[in-house]
Amino acid sequence: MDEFEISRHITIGQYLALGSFIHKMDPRIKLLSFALLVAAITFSASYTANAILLFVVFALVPFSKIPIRYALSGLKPAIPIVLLLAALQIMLYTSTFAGGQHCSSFFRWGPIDSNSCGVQLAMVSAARFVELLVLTSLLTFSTTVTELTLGTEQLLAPLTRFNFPAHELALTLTLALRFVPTFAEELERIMKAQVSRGAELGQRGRLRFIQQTRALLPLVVPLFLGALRRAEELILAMEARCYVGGKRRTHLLELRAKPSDWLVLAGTAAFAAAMLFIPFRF
Amino acid sequence: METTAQPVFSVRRIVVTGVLGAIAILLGYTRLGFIPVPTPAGNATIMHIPAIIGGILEGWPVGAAIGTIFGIFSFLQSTTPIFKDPLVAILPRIFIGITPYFVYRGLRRVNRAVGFAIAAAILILVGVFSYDMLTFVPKDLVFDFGGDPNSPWIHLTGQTARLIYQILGALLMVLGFGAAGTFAYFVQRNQMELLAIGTAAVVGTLTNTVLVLTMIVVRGYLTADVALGIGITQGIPEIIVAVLVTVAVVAAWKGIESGAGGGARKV
Repeated sequence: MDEFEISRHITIGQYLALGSFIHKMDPRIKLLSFALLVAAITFSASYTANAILLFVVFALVPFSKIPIRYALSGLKPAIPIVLLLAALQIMLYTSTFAGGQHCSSFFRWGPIDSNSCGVQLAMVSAARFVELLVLTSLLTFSTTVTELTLGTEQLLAPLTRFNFPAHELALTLTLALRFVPTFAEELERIMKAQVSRGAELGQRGRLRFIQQTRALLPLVVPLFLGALRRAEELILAMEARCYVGGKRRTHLLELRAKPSDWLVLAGTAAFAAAMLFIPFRF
Repeated sequence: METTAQPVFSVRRIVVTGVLGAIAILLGYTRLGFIPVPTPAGNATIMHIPAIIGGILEGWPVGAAIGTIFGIFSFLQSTTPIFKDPLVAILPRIFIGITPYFVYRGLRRVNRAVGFAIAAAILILVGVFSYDMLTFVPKDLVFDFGGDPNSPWIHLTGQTARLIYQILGALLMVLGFGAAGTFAYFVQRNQMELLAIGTAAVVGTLTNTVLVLTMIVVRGYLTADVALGIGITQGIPEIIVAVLVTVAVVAAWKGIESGAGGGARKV
């Protein structure tokens, strides 16, 4: 019966209430710092920069009081894929793709071309993956969903001047997160209903994927239609209450950045800039 | 002065985006989002379908917003290195819901004559192109994947290259004629609405596959030839799955009779 237990596996809002320094940061500052660090990780391709980033990301974990085992929880199932990807990159990354870099070749046989650029790419990709994994865990474990959406909205707020729908987009995000558990329950109910009518939800083999998809339709179609019907009800309810989004709305929670938050932001910005603009030799 | 112009996001658009975004997130958490198929990746995804449906039903801003929500969550939840990169996971996903909207809008009001003209145009274009590929094979044809010019593996020349070229031509001919035939069949039965929905699903899925693989190559995770192989093998089943699901859902929601071939069935 485990296959019907959908809502139990959903880990949205995996917030751990630990009250650490990172937990207490202003969500706007936290999101900005997160974005800066993600940018630094995404665009750093040198060994040195990635070693520093790896160290810094792990050094941040104690500040959040999150157990390291939680922060690395996604790593174990990913190890085979990481290794496979690294093997492909090392074997197949030919020097012409490296964009004029000088690569020294180690080994060449048939289609296999192993060179220093491929090895660097594989090492950097793996390091990048671990860095981003820890960083996203830090953000999601230390910030509630409410804080995240409010922070997103207020960060995007200056863009409303250019007719960018910041408040509206934040509301869609809140709605989406709000409805995930509801739809999970609904999906469970649909699955049980179909199985009780004799539907087979099991695997039918990879070659018969069209039949497999058609077997899924009795689950997917009611799920979508139920969702759209719920949307119509919500639209009616909101319009009946004269909901109007935009500038004039006020918030129950007002965010206030502390001096320490600004200090963190300045530090992160300087660090990210250093990672991005210092031309590391290795 | 206060403007009273309609905002881009009306209450309707906000709510539909939120609700379909929730389904996109939910599909990522369950096995339901992944349909086993005979390809190297092993699964065809249906997680991008809410973005396509949102684009068709409520316009391109809704499709773009749902695509972005899907992208953000596939970035945050991902435990595969390739998709733990915002440039691969988020950026291409914004466009999944935009292209289907324009295809749908462009096709649904087309009359029979124009419909047959489009089918004939596909037929002639593909026919001439693939006939050309089958008969006039360039003599000094080279498939170069950017490797060592002395290696027979990645630098295909002579008979092998010509054979691959002809096989590709034949494949293109079969796929193109099939597409033109299906198109004409739906025009003949005057089911332009269904045809528009199905074509929108094809285009939306192609947008996802092509843009994601392009970013993967640009970011250097896979080489261009590996990505092309994945794109062809993964793209075809994903398109079939997306058409089945999208047509079923949109037709059922709009109350369109879809007849026997696929589409909404009584549940």
